Amino acid sequence: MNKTILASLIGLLASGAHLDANAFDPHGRTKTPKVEKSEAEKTSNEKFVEKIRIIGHASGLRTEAGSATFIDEAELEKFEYDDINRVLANVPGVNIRQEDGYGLRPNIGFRGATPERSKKIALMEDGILITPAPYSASAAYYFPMVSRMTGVEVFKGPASIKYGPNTVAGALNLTTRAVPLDSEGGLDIAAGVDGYNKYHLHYGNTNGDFGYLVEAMNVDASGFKELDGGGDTGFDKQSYMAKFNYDLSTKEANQLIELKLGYDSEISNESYLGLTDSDFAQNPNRRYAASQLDLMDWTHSNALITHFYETESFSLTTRAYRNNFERSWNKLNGFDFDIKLEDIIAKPLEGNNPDFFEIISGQRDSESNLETLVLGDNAREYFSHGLQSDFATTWKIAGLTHNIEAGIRYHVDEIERLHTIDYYNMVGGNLVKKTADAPQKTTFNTEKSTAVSVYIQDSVTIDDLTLTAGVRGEFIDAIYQNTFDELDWLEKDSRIWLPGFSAFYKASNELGFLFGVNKGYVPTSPQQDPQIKPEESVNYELGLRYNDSVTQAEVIGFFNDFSNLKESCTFSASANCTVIDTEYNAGEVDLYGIEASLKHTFNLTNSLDMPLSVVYTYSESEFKQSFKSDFPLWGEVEAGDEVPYLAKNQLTVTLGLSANQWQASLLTKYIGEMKETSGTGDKINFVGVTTKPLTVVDFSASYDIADGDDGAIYLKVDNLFDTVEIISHRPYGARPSKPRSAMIGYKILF
Amino acid sequence: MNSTTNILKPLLLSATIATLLAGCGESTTSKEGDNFGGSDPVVTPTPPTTGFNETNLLSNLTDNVITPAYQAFDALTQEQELAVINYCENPDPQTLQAAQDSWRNAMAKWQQIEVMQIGPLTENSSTLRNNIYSWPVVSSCGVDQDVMYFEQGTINSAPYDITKRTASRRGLDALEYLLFNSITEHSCTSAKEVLNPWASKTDSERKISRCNFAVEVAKDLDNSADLLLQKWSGSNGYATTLKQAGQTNNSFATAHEGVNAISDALFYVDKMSKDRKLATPLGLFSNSCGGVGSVCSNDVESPYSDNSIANLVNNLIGFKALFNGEGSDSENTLGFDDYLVDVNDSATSTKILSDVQAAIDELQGYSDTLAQSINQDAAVAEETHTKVKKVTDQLKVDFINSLALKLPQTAAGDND
Repeated sequence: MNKTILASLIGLLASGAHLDANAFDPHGRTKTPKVEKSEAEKTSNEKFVEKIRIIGHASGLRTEAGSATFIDEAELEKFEYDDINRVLANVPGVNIRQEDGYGLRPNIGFRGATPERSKKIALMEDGILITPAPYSASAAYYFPMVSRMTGVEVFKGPASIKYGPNTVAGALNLTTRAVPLDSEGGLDIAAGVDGYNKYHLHYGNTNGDFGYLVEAMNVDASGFKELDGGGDTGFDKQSYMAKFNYDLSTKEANQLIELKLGYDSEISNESYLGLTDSDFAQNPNRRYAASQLDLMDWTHSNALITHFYETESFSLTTRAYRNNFERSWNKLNGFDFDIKLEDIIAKPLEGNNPDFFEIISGQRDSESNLETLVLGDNAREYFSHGLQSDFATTWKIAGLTHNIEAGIRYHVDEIERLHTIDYYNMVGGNLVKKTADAPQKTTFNTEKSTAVSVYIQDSVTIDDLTLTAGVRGEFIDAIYQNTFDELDWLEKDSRIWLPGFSAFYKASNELGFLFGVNKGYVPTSPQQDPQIKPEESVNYELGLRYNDSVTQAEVIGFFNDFSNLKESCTFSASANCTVIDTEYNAGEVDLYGIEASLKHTFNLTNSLDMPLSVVYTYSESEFKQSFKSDFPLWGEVEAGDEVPYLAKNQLTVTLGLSANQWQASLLTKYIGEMKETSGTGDKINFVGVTTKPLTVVDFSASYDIADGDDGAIYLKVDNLFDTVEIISHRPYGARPSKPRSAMIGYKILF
Repeated sequence: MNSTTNILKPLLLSATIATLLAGCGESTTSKEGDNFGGSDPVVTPTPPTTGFNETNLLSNLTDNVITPAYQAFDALTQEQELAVINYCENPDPQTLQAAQDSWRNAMAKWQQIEVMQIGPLTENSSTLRNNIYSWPVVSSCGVDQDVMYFEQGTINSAPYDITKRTASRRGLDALEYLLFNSITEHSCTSAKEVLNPWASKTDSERKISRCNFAVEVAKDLDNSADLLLQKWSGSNGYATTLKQAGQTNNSFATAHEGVNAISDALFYVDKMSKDRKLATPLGLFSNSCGGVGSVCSNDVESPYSDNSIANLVNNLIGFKALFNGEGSDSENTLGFDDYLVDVNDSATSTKILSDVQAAIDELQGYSDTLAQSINQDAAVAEETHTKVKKVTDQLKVDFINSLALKLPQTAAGDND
């Protein structure tokens, strides 16, 4: 084997003393040969890895209904994205509201579902719900670090009934690195503008029946925003993961047990405070002085034990999991006076707003008690744990094969709010604490959910027709308790069945048609009054899929008929909430559109390919009834109005050139304008305001050194033409898209 | 074929079950603690089904209560402008007293109007209201700076134009400072370039400078009062909109919504009269002197003119006029009291009216200013606060519930 000194050293460093000859087999990542094994040849580990993925890996025409997209490791590495928002540019039917530019707090929705904090989708890591408290508070303030993922799966339509509890939109599953079968490690280091650094190291091996993997990653940046008076606007994220597995397979059965341990942390100098439109026009990256102490600081730890058992007749995957999440989110709430930040930033010249705006921007010192700034720490502690089993078997009845899948999950999660506020004066452009008093306690409460969920699904193929029917049951017992008032509590028991049905007709080996219908559901949080209805919908899809191994295409029309669309009022949605976390009903809403994708690789020469990918989404939305709402993104809505933050047109075109030793790709993403407020009214802001259409071009290239033996260097430039627009006026004022950024990196597999 | 049919049966059955289930919603059972309900969303209630004519109520309150108040204020700002001009042209104790009296008169009417903020006074972040009176957002330092900017005639190289200045440098609050403040030092605690010449001015020159700016502020106030009337009156004025609430193309879909807009205005006595003018200086909320529990007479309204008691009295007079509908037409006194009687809740009507009168009587019995009273014996003002709270407690619960009105957003988070 041809070893290089560098690779050997790194291999030695990463693998410690337990090395065998194969551990020193260096090769560039892009050159890793991928050989499809037959089912019989696969190890327990490989079968297990496939099992926890939602989407099958087969290269031919898939016969499942539902729009499914799998972004594999090679695809993820092409653009070395740290931001899930950018990764999902290649997935049709995804609607995103950007926020901080780095994707620290993604807002992801599918098929028009509200993207706010990704709370309407089933968000999973390795098939386990990963939102801090998926039932009690589904907003994903924690999002796994995308840079360490080896797969991103997006699934929409009827198959989402297997996941839940949220089934109105679909599921997003992130797969972590698997324990390798042989000694394998990797190093990835990168540096870029705005103080960007990335360090990523992983190593694993399987010795006999015992396998292990350790992985560590750090991504940090000093930020692209410019704080008045100076200061850090960046972030520092760290992620550690270890996996240990043991293969217990016998002749009769594949059996594997695996332990995954993870720890993640983030400190980010992020803020909800944006800019007035006039200040944005002068410098979109400016940040006002009043946001100088804003800081998110969280830690997340998780443990997962998986038992995988498979015989010729069935497979059973059982997982026990625990996730802990703690955060401190200290940020500017506003003034110690009945005037709202969003109003001041939205209308800086009206009423008394100019006086207060001068304080926010540090132009003037706080002079009176009213001009005291209130900073709130929305500290929260979350946990979730549970036990779930997924069973799959095949029954042959009268010559037809039934693929049966069933599962049961017992899940408990909790959010404990420990919110406090502190008072500050603006003095000489700096925030100065008014008193040495301890922070004042505000909202202290606990929401807890205990849920049992079950599903069963039967899929049968009759000639060219594959029919699938299934149903999911959710049985949720929820408790809310105010910490300060023992008589302020609520207990709710909710029960619902969520059916789904789909069909796929294989017209030829390359072409098929699909249809699906399923019931969508999002439970209410434990503290919501029982009169607040859950979000419910009936989702339909109809489309075609084509795959001739060279060209892959999928076109799906979707229609989501909401009987009750729901929103909740949070600081992240808008400052102008009367009661934080209150949920609102909009009644009947239709969301519909078309999602399409096309992939084709042109072979230009024997050694040069040109892969092309086109992804397009058309979305329409319509409130079906007129109503007046205090929810600041709705206001006075007329039937026919659109939901906010949903672009009608989104298009991503990725064009690449790929040779033996290098590859280059250009990704162009267009997002059409989006309404920022659905209705009208003099008590809401940004009436009639839309975000401008935004076209961003990203470039990436990599070059294998010594045919990859010495690794590869890569270069990427996000937003090549430095196009910056207002991506949102929420929570408090105009926020910019990420400006041009460049980075260069080196990576090697060993 | 037979076997295919056999297999299709369960699938069809599944599909049928699925379709049937799609029609089923979530079933929820719940129980709650006695104090649960803090997170209820504000919902628009259904108006009571009685024969009460809400349009007539709107007409009376508009024509006989609100419009006369706005007109009276407009007239008083004209008188005030003349009095201030006269004082500046002939500065002596008598002309100063006349100017101050004219301010008190205008302020008395304005404090009644504070409880009648609707339409032009609430649109555009209450810009017009704040231009007339921005309290509690006030800035004596800002006013002193504008005294000098006005004297210079320019600001940032542009001609000085008071209409482009922030509200805290205009209106009745600025005029109070200019007419009643006897301290000739400027009020800024940090250096302001525009105030550099202030130190070299004599006391007399400082008074003249402030007086000249007072004239500008008084003129601006008169213009603002004119603007209010202009936006309120006439065929396209807001008064017409209110009276025609519920008609086609009206911004109020129903007359009940129009009634609710006036009800919202009544809640001024809760958030401002009770909380800001009494509870804050009493230390029931945090204030300029510290956190909860620190009594702070600095935070009373109208500190230079010691007019805070009169302000409170006029707030309650304005409230009472809207509530009982007694305005310029003694023949027509249709008010919220009649509406309550109509929905068989005369008890609430009687209680609110007697509690308002009790609070007015109490305030009119003060021999000291509010600041003095708070400093000497806070219990006296606390009793006044209790009396006003009796009114607002009724307003928040029985009044709102009986008339099926929606609580204003600002009152939903209870500060009590």
